[in-house]
Amino acid sequence: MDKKLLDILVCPLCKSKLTYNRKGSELICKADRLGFPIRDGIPVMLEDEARKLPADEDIE
Amino acid sequence: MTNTAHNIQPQTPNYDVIKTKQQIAWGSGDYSRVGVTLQISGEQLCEAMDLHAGQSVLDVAGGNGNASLAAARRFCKVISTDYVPTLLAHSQRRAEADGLAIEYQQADAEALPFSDNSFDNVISTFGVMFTPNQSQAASELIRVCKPGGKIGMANWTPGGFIGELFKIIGQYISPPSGVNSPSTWGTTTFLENNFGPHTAQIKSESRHFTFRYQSPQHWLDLFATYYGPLLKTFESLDESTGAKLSTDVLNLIQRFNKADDGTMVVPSEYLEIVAVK
Repeated sequence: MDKKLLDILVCPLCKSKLTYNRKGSELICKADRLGFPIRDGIPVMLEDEARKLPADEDIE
Repeated sequence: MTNTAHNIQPQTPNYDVIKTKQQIAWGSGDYSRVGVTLQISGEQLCEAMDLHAGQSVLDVAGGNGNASLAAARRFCKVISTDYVPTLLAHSQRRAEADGLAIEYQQADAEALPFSDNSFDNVISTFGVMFTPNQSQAASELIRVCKPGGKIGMANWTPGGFIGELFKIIGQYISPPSGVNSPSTWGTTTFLENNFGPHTAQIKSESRHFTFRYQSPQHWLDLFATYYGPLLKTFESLDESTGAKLSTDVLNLIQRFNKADDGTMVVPSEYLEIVAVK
């Protein structure tokens, strides 16, 4: 994930910064506990497509 | 995280449901087959915006990439977005074929995943105008544009060929209540109301894109097969009503057609907008 791109990417809902989870190939919004998938190199920044992170999943 | 604005007015349309239907409509058929003919409008917009190499450009609802490719050809740093993945994939193949670097994101024009003031230029050709929540989409375009940056759009006007086509389609399928026609985006009133308070300058110019097809029937066949919104309309009608829609569309083409050799040469008016934030 390009560093400059990550700098301007935010959660489409709450507009807070995202973290890149390299292992899961996801962009994580800690505030909303959502994981936005990256498919074929294209981040899918849609609420409907995001994974809801279970309460017991650690976010790093 | 939820958009409470949905609950304020009882008349507020359910935008999520409308958007899901739209996403399916635009994903059906193969918009790229007809969308690619509109390439010149993307090139024209980039010239009207006076893009400079190296500037950042966000293409919103960029579809098969006409405006994105045009900006990338001017050595801008382009991010292209759409909520239909098949359109982005088509755009990506075009960019690869031309050796152009474009970043892609699947995103909703009404909920852009970018920080405030991120881009030198925010553009959309015949894209954002189709979002159901028009004022929300307008405010997102402004939000992600840098102060002093430009917002550039190409939007079909209500009185042009495509604007008239929307009116005909609306006679066969009622648009969702509370949702304005997409061609509202092609009026200066809409721009003044939605961009005016947040921009330093708005320039708009009436332009025409010319549909050049083998015949009116050729246009209808391609659009009924590949243009999701028209395809979905035909699918929802029984045979005799569908035939009536075909006749209405062919009559509309005849009204605008400038060719007298059996082919179709139909200029369709659109509003080209360049606003400075």
